[in-house]
Amino acid sequence: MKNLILSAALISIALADPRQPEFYLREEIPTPEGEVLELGGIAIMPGKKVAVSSRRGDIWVCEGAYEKDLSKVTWTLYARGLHEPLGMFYRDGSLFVTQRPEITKLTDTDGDGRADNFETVTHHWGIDGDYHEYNFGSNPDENGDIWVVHCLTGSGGASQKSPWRGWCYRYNLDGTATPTCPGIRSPGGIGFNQAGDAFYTDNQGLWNGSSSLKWLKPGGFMGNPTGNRYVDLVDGMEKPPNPKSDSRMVIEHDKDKRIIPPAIILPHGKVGQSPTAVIYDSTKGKFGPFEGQVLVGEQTHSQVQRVYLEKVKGLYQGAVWKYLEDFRSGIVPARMGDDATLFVGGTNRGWGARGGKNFTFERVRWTGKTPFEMHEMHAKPEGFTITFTEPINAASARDMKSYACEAWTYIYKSGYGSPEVDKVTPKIDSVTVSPDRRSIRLKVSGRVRGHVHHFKLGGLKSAKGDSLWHPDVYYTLNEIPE
Amino acid sequence: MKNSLALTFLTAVPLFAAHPGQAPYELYCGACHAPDGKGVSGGQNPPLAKSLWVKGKPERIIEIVLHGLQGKLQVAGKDFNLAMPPHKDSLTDDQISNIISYVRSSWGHKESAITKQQIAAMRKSTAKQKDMWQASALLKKYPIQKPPAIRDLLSYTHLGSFKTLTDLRKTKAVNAEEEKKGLISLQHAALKKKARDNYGIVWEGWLDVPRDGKYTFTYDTDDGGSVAIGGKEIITRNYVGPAGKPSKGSIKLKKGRVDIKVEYYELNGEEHVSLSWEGPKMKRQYLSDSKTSGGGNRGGGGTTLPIIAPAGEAIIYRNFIAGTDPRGIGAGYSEGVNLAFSADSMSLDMIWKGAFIDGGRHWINRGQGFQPPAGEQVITLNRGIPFAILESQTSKWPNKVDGKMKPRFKGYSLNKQQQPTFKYHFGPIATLDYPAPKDDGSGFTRTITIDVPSPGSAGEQLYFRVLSGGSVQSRGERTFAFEGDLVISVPNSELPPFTRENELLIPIPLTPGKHNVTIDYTWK
Repeated sequence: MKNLILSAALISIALADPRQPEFYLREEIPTPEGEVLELGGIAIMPGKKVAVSSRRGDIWVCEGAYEKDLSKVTWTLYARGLHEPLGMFYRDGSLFVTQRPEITKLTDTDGDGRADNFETVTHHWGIDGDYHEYNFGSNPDENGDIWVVHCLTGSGGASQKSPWRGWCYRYNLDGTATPTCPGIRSPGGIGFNQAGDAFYTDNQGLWNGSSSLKWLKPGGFMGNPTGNRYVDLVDGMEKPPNPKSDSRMVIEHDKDKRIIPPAIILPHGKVGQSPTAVIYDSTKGKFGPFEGQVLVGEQTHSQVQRVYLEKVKGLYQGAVWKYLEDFRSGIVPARMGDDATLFVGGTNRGWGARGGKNFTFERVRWTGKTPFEMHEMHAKPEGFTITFTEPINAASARDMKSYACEAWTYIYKSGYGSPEVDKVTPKIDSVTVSPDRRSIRLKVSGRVRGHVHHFKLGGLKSAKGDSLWHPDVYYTLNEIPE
Repeated sequence: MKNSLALTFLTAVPLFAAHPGQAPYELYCGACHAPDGKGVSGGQNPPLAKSLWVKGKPERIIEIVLHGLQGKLQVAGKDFNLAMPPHKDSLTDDQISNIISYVRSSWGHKESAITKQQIAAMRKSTAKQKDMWQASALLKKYPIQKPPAIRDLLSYTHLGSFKTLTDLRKTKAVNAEEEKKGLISLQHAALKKKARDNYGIVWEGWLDVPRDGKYTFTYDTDDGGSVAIGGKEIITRNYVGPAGKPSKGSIKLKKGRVDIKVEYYELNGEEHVSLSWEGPKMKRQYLSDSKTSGGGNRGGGGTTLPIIAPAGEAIIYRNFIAGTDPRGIGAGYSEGVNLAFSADSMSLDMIWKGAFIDGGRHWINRGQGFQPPAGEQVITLNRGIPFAILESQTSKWPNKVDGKMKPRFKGYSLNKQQQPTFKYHFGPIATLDYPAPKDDGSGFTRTITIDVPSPGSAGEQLYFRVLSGGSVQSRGERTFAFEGDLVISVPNSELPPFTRENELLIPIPLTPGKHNVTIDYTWK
């Protein structure tokens, strides 16, 4: 019965979140009149400027994006004629853009506001003319490496003519190329967590049971073997794993440790359908209480989700919550701006999105009011510990009727996606409330390694009597700590 | 008690959802097809409501959900070229049968429900379908029964040398025929065995107007004719001459049936008739089997987005351009000349005059395929790497990349007029390549600077291939004709250019320093 209630309650489709304005102010930023600005990239620039790149290949620089009155923003055309740029950052006077054929350094050498020098940093990879060969590029890491995930040719191919599809490469600003992770299918974004480790989002499809956030552990294999063929191009290159179809990810990981299970499964349909941008909250508390947590864009549902990551037995895993929604188009890029302003952009061309507009550029700011939310969720040898942003009502926390739980996983197979399988209903044996009433320890029996554990804390109240803004949490349990 | 109340509230909405397919439909399909079945973003994604794809036997829609669908297709009169992923591996038989049953009984559809056993059986019988369905192949397997464009269409053939509508209207029909396809056509008239001159046809039928509003008809003929809607003549072409300048007429119509009468006459020579209509929330639909002539190369959704250089400037279009490599860079100049440079091979592959390129293919929907130039007098100058070290002037042009001379694209700079100078290396040799449009739009003057850092080995000679793949004829010491369409001259190069079979080469000395070459391209 609990399961039924759980799945039924998930259907809050397309209704605007009535509580969000209490905590976060979402505002649309007017885009240049007459221009189709389907955002693929956002770069934070000095002097309170923000650059955006569009799927049509233009770059515009916005001034006034931090001001109170957004009707007064001004736009300057910086460049036209790029090929689907999906990753951009500013460094030392130049914008670096990851576009379809290359990474390019754009510089305005004569100071007229418009780029006049387009210097190719690298064009190491192949493209064969298939529209699906997207490249998403990160900001540079501390070594000056741009991490790029190369989408497969089409939904599941790797063209002979376009090597390194299905791979993550690091490209240094000096042009050197380092193969980093095979096994990629169809990414939607790439970025870093606070510790500086790289993550990307991969969309449900072949060899990918559900969309997920994956850790780009150098040398790790992300799951889809289609791009493995390119190792034959390099003498002596190590062969990536060749996983067995119709298995489970953790089973294959146990056979070959290079196979890295997704850090966070974003259950298909329930949490999203097309995950995109990866950033983290670097605002030291100025964007609300979630300092250091990872934020993940979501194109189909026009949302931004929130992720808590922890490392257990050498693997990343953790929890995902719904977070911000009601954006006006399908969110693709996101960047945290100077003064805790979150900038997001979006497009729905070719892939539908709930937001309804064809493209959008928006900003989000914290109102200063702390939402009553789960803060972190940690796997423990006996169960889970969940912390909260505010003290909780202990009686509601001790009431077993406040909780519902179910767990499932996905088949790891060559086919397109997977249904939810191996469903179980773990049992909460006991709840211990911490003395400061800011966390609960759940003793849970029947947990399954490799499963997504969905908890709904529908009845839990804060000390003030509030319900959780988002009562659902999904924890991916790759490893159980000892 | 409060807790359980809260839970009840949360579940209250779905409890009203009578159909078990509604929730999974909205969850898994709604993001594109929309909860109301109309397709999200004002129909940017294919609607299911009123879609003929949903109607009839369920096999087609089951196969689409199981295996996915891609390629160009039409739904409710609108073109799409998207991709829907397969769901056979991500959804259960139960979920799929519920979703399809829901779709088949919603938004006006009254089709039968589907069982999970049917889905299981279809999984088995279509197990060989490994890839996503191409729309054209699926429609061959399961054709869509469209109602005829014009209902109850009859054609009346007249014979005579008609130069005006009055001439035509003076005569009586010699034959009447039922046009079952419901399209105005010259193919099915009772004329097949007779001379295809000196005749006229009058068609009569009725249109099913989808909604109230203003409708515009576009009629093109060789020679003349007329269109009357609801008894009112809205287009009159009292005319003898070629097609290509269609006439338009508009009329306000009410939803439902309206009569249509179309007259046409052909005196002699070429013959053509095409008729289309468009209206509120209805893209152009043809009522004839011929379409309006002209229109050029269209993008994915049939919408054109011409890319035009601003006055006095050039504009770059970097995307998949037919006739060059995937890393092609197009440049359109306001002087009315255009080029495509390959950043794969570093070859100036194509030049053309007139319109630059149509962005409609790549900027609408997902952007599949290669888009050809929009203009005219397209000339392919060369394909493949244009620099090589040859043993002698008669050595064959290599078709493999020489490791030592591997091309590397280094980018481009733009001058104030936004005109690109391409930068590339061949091995250690650095090259700047600036094609400048001529002011009068007659062609390009291209300046190439080749910077050799250190001397080559004794006897090594670098060659630059300016033209290939077409006949090159000498028209003087440094002037050549290419394919009869283009005059090429090389006013500046240290060593003289020379032709060989279907090629024009310029030797470049491998001595340290800068070597300049100027090439002039002029269309005849």
